Amino acid sequence: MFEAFWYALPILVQDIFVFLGLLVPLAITGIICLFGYRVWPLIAGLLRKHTAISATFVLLIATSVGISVGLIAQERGLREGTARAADKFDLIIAAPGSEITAMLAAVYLQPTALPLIDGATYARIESHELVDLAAPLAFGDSWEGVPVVGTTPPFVDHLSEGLRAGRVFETMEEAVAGANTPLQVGDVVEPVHGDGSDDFSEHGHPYTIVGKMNRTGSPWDNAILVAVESVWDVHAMPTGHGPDWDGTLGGPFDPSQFAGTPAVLVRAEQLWANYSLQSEFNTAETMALFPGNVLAQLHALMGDIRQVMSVLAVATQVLVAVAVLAGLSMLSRILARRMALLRALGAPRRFVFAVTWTFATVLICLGALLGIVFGVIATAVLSMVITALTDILVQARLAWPEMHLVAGFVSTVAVLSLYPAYRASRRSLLDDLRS
Amino acid sequence: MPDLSIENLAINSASGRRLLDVPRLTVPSGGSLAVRGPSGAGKSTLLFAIAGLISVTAGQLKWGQTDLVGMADTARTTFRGATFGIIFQDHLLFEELSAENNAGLAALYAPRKRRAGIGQAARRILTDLKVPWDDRRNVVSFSGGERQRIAVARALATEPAVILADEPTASLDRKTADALIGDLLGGAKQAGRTLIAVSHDAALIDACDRVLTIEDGRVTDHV
Repeated sequence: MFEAFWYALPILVQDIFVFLGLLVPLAITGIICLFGYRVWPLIAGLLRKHTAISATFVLLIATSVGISVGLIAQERGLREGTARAADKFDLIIAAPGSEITAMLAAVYLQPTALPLIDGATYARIESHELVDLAAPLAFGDSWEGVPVVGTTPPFVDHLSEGLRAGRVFETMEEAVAGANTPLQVGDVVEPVHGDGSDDFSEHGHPYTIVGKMNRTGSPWDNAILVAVESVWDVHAMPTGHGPDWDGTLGGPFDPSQFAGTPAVLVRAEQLWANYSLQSEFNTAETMALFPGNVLAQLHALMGDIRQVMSVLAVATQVLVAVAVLAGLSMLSRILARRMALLRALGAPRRFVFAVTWTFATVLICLGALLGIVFGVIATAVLSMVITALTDILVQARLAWPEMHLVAGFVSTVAVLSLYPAYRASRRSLLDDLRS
Repeated sequence: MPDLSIENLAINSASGRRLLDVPRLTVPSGGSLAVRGPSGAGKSTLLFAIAGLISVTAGQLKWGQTDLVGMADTARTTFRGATFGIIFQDHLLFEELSAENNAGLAALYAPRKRRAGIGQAARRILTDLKVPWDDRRNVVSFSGGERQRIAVARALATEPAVILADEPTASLDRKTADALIGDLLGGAKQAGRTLIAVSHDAALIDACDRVLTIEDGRVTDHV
């Protein structure tokens, strides 16, 4: 009954209910503690009186909360970013081997040596009735550290969905630059063999940039795309076409002139067709993989790491909470004479208890709120750094899971703060008054 | 208004040393008593015992029919809040609060129906005692005399039956001290309040109805 009602609610409403539910212990404790008392003038006064120590507490809590929520948001942002980067790669066919290596090479352009698919196999893929787009992806060259990938014009259209500037390459001397490269239309680049980090040799084959792609949020933003024919050509291999080739780039290729490609992007309009193709091309000669599936497996592994991170985040919060409670005990000694005075004047123990607990809880709540601000800043900075380091567009934002963590933390520490408040209310009145 | 009656009161320190012996003492409702004696004689200990702030080792200490000896701490606190207005030697104000909030401190924890009355009384008494309170500045910026008068206003704001004062004029110049004595005793007589004050100040001692002298924890004179 309740389960049916709960799952019928929109996700946003569920999140809000969970958030409010996590704050219930705080609310109940607060109502019970403060019932019948007016503590706020004293709390405001104590915050003014002990500004430095209060600010230290708030900053300590805020830093802890900020780091925890920032890291969790970042991990989610990275998962979303890597998934987004793989969006355009429905099905990859490569020679048998490691699926992860093939995915890292084809989707994330990680330098690796892959065996090649031969012309006959490529022809079978290209001519298959279910295939709407087949494009060879030939890696291995680079220009000033920017990978140069040989492929076909339709792949550029598929990846970029129109160009930001210029047009797609039409000859073996033309190239299209990724959105994040420093290149503009009209620039000339001369790639080298390999990634440029080891001994390398120039091919003596300059390319003129004729187009620039839209941003894809993937490492392809930092790549240069050229005709696959030109890649084969500069490596002194057949260009994929027979002697009567009219110079039009792209397929169909002549299997006898096909030099080989480490990976083929395959796209079918129908979802089921992709599954059919994957099944058909998972053979002794070829390996067909869904990058989304491989990524999901990696994310499942990351999911375990995420759980570890969550536990660590909670552990960090608990350690901070313990530090806060220890600090509050010290603070209650600083406040002891004032609290003793209140009791000497006739204030009940519960009032002293309420003042101490409220003071602690106000610091915790202020720290948590500031921690969310810190988390937003940390998330933005980390996203920029990771995007710059990986070329995978990471757009992490704080979301409800982080809010739930903060709400749980605030409620837990507020409830734990009952103990130092209790201790403060049980101190020796006379000793404190005469101190 | 309750009378104070003490019989064979004995108070020991935690180590068992006898701090105070008072065989017999009565203060009628509305009367005033000055407690004098050298420093460390036990005057403040007596005042704290009368206020229910210190545990009594033996004897009887009654306010009217209420015996503070053996009374639970919570009940003593309630009785103290309802019966006494206490003035401490060194003011003991909340420095970060205004004069008005200090004088009306009891409104923070008093039952809701009494809060408005305590606040009004605090403002009225501050005005009567010529303490500038409406600029809401913190009491830390007030002079010593003003701070002591704020402490007096705090003691009187709950309209208690008994005022207990520990060296109320100790930190004041003569003129300010005399004005405070006038306010304290005049106000107490007018309202029919009992006043018990520990003091070295001859002017305050002379102004009280009766004087109790304590030396080395024992009553040596009672006039």
